[in-house]
Amino acid sequence: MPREINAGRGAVAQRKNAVWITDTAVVSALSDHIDEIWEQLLKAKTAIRPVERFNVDGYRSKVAACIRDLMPTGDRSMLHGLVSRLACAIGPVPSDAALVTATAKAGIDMLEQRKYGRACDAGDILPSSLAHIASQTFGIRDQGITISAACASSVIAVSQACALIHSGRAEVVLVCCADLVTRFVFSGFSALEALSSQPCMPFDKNRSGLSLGEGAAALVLMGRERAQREGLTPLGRVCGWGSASDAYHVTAPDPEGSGLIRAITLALKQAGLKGRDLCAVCAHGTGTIANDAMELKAFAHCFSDPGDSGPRVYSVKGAMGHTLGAAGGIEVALGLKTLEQQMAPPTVGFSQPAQGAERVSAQAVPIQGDYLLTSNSGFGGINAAIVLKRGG
Amino acid sequence: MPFITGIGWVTVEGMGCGRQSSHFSMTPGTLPKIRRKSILDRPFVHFGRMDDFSRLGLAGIALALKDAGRHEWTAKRPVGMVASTVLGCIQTDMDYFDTVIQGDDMASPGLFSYTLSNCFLGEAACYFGTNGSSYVIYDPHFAGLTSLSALLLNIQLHEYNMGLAGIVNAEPPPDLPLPGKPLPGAAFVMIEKTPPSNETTYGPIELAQNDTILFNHKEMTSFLHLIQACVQMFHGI
Repeated sequence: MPREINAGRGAVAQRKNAVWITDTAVVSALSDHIDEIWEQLLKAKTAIRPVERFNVDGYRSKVAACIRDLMPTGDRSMLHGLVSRLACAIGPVPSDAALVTATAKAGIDMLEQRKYGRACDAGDILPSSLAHIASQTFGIRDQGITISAACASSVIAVSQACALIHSGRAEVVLVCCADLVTRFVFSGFSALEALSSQPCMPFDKNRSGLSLGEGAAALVLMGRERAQREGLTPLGRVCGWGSASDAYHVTAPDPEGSGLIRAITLALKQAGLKGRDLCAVCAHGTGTIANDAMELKAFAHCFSDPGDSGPRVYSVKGAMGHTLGAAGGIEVALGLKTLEQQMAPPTVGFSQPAQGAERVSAQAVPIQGDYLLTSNSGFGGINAAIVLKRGG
Repeated sequence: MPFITGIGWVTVEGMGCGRQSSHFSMTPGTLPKIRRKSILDRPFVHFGRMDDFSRLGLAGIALALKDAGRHEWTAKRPVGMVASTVLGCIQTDMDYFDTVIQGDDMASPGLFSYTLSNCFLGEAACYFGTNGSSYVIYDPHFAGLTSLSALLLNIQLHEYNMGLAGIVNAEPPPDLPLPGKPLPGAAFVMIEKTPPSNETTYGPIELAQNDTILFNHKEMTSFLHLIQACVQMFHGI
């Protein structure tokens, strides 16, 4: 069972202005609704299937988790459709919310359109397009900022949202993250030889690469006082966050996991927790040999206590692919589900554990506890982690 | 209160540091070619393969660190880095996708990695041994103060005690119909919570509760305004 929270700086800040997550929405290739996504996850379903959106002849991989009926409309990016689906799946967002968006490649589909000589909205090509689209779609006044830190974009965006609330600069923040599967991205990861020819197998000893996916998430973060004023009950609370660079290589993780260890340590310290207080860890778990090995090493460092079997570790990328800059936001939303349901979802694609992956399972596993950590690592050598608490 | 301890820039007029140059301006035009030896003391194997956007950003960071006397290191240190950009590495995106169109077996993996606009921060982290948080903010507004606000907020919340905030905008692609085009160049400031001494700083910088940026207790309206104010203050202009 979790220990009592230490009265550190983070704990004091939480008492002053705790950050609640009061609403979430996720759109992925599994479904447009988080409850259905959760059900599919528990059944170990995968949305990774043959790519039909563009020609994949000549690529080693021919699979990805694309949203089947997501298409560009006229000269506009698919981001519009993706964000509209989010808006349909979430409750009203206060119009005074600050907006923080996150993406790795935003409306890159429009740059492709332009290169092919097709009509495209130049505004959608701008990397800040996601903030513009989200601001309009959700009807909030703030024009927002867009954070880009490769696959760690969303978790850093959530951290920045928490910082705005903690410091009293905002009462409500909408975090909106999205990324698309496009030929641009697919060809790039293919050229880097990072794609698996089969649906990815996170933490499996026979894993051979990642599978791309597309998706989006919206998270409403609110200071406790504002949420109570509005009569809202929290889905969960953000207790701590941390981010750190490897300073090792821009496309390969530090094999020792130094950046991830530091990010997790900072997040736990701010939450006033130890690794043994966590009941589950939502790993980045891409299925690449280097990433998964690095993560397992970092987890062993951060969560190993003599006589303690440590938290359950899972990855959702075998079910919905690697959604790049949206991954962290989707995983925060599903992490809240994990805590609420007290059930760690199966790691789809996982079968035979890689060394150190004993806490990963191909089946859903009941958990007991209030705290979950979710982390992501990305190009540029950036790592970010967040600690979530069940309820308020 | 944190202080600015270093300034570095690359503009159409050339490269500069706050302590060495008494003039700073950002104007339209063509940026100078950035060579490794003009910004880095030691060899850097990655430099040759970096795109123009990354070289520009790395140069701004290198010059600011040098100006602050923080460019040398023996152990990794928690220095945060946040950069605002309007267009990011959009020219690199176009160059990379050209290699895809030429034939997928021609797609350049090296170039692709620089289509993630935060990668130059990773290169800077590798070269200067900084392991703090690092990210890019896409900001359509030309004032470019979002990176500064974010960094000061992170320092205020004790996430780290020193960091670099800046703006990076490569020359806009000439054939892209964009709503507006930012001035090309990069500028970074080094900010420290506890500088070695008051004599080593340009002055105090603060994120006020109404989100304005105050340098020497005066409101700054843009990143360029801030750099100019620092230079004028230091050189007594």
